Amino acid sequence: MKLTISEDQRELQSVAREMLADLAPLSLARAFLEGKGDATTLDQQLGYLGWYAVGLEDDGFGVQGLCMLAERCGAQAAPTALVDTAVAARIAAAIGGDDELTARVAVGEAATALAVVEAGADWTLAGVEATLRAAGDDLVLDGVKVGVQAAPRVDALLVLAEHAGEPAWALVPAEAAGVTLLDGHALDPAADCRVVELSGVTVPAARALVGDDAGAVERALRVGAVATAAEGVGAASAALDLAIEYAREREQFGAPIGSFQALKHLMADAHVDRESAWSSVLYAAAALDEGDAEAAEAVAVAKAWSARASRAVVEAALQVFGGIAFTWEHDAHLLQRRVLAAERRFGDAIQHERALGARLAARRVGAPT
Amino acid sequence: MKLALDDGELALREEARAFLAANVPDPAQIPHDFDAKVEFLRAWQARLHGAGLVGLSWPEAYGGRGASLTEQIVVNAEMARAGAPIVIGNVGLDVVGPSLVEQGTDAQKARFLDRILSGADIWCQGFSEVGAGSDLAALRTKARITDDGGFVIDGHKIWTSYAQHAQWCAVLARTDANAPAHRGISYILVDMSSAGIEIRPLVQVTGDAEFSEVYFDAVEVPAENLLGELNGGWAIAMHTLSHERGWYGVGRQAVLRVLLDGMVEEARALRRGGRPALEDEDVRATLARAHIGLEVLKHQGLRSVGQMIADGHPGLESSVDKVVLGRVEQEMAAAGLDALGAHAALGAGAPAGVDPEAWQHVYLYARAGSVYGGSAQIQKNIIAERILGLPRGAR
Repeated sequence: MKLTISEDQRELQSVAREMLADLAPLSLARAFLEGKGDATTLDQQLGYLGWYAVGLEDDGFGVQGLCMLAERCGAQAAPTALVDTAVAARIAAAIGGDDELTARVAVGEAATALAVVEAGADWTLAGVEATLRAAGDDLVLDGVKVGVQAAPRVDALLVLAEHAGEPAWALVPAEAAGVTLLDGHALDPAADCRVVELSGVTVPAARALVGDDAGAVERALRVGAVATAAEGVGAASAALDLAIEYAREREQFGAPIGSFQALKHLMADAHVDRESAWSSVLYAAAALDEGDAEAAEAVAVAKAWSARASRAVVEAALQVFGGIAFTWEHDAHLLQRRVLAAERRFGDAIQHERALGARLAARRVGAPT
Repeated sequence: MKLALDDGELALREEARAFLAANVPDPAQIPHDFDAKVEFLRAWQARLHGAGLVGLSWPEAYGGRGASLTEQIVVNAEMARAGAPIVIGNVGLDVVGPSLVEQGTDAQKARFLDRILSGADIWCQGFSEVGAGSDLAALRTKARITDDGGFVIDGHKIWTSYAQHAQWCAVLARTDANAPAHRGISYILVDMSSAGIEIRPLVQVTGDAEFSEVYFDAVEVPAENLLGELNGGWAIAMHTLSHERGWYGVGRQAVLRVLLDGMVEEARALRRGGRPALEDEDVRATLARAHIGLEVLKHQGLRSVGQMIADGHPGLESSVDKVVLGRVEQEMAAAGLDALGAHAALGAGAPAGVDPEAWQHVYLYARAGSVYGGSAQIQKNIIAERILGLPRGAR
């Protein structure tokens, strides 16, 4: 009963650190900020490296491994479809069958964007107005999705829609007829979001998940929640590292500002936040990897705690920098944007806290654990 | 990366569970009078020892089981779940005992260790002083070295838990006034029945007199009661404090978990706006956040324990654990009071199943969480300077 990581995982972490620093320097996120971002090389390399498939099979990396990659993507505010693709792979596996696109997504060979949020629908999956209707042997998909990350660069979209009053999922090739990408400006430019219009898109039944009795979608979304928590922790932590470096160098009153206790304690608190958040992420990921009965709860704990902690960390970092981090040209806000974006995806702190509150209320003390 | 219990942990859990199910006393049996309570708890420890359930992680040669840290944690969690009374000899078991195992002479081990396990000897820790709290190395209690190598101790210790019930005290005293602060301190084992010791109990905000002031007036201690090297006491004390920080949080978490689960039940019985408080969205959210904090405290602790087992000793991360513990415990205690609403500051007249005074006690006690064992501010200095590498500066 302990929380450790393996040598292989440690190695993955260190390779990811080097590769992503190289493939996705903060200047790449900045290029997206300036509207001229190009992530072609990064996308290709992630595919070559097999990172979309990390944790899908029994590869020794597991969801913890995926979180390590996501943490590094966060630290570089990297424009990737890593987490969406990992979630889509699990839902595609639940669709099953012998459709080629579905099979490629299921093994992590096709970068995929999730299309979930709508003007009136969020990550609780309630309130969805996009529809998936029978049309002969096929289905037809209509609706408008927002905040679809990396939409212009992925192979496929996995769209949440209502079918017979229940949430359903439709896998759509990115270039399918009836799919239109619109300007999707959002806080985190490197997320490369689009609004996606789906108008009479034909979906073969073999690419739809209608009904989810086995709970595959819930499990997939938990993977997304914990990996996104990792991404937020990574971004916040990178901002803190920059602030610490700055505090060692920057002098005021004839001394490095990092020698002042007021700033030390600000950074120490932020360190406590990032470490505790990372512990909760590693634990929740391990719970998923080990099929722990309390995994759902552990994920909600990790996402809620990390969301609040990561924001506190990045805000502390900005405070250390003072005025300079309030400028467009400084890199801190690239990380700040990633923290705020990651905080919301797969459910924000309020959503997960509410879910946990309901679980607490439903649980009777003395029940076996 | 194994969150699930391994076979050894499972077996030990079953063993502890079976013993506790048959032996945990009804809380109503625990005397309210503090002295009587201490005697009761001493007898409880002796029973636990008889079942081999204290000092598990001590080596077998010294009466322990050589259990892993995680096995010890599993047993502690079972005790919390079973509502078992606290183990009164914890200073001896968790702080002094491990130091004796590592640094003690054979004679010291033979003399003290078994009596610590059985509860025959309760130990207290004479570290803090009025002028040496966070700045512990500023301590002024002096131990003059006599011709035969013994000591004569003069000084004044404070915040000494269980002093009035302890048979022994682990005293940090200055043995070299000319050495730099950290290098002139020795770790001396003092018999509390020695002539010249005066104990003045201090009543805490909770109303309990758990700790005391201890005055040493020319207290004579034989040479054989020095632990480790002369002037080498600082390292021993720091080592045990970091051990205490290292996994204390996980054990404390188990106790707090039981309290919070109880609060959920109280919130069912309480009414807010004419409805069960637990149906109130904000009360639920407040309790949910406390619950999240407790879970994260556990995750953080298990990660540190994993690291500690890999390294063989606690690292600087124990300072992170300590800050998390203080914060989470205080937030949880406040959440409990907030959930109690109109009854939070009352005592009499609460609904059946609701005990505001118990929560007031939890809340008041929690304030110590960011003070004892090195205050939160000291831990933050350690984090900032020794983990983050920020430059030292004025305090």
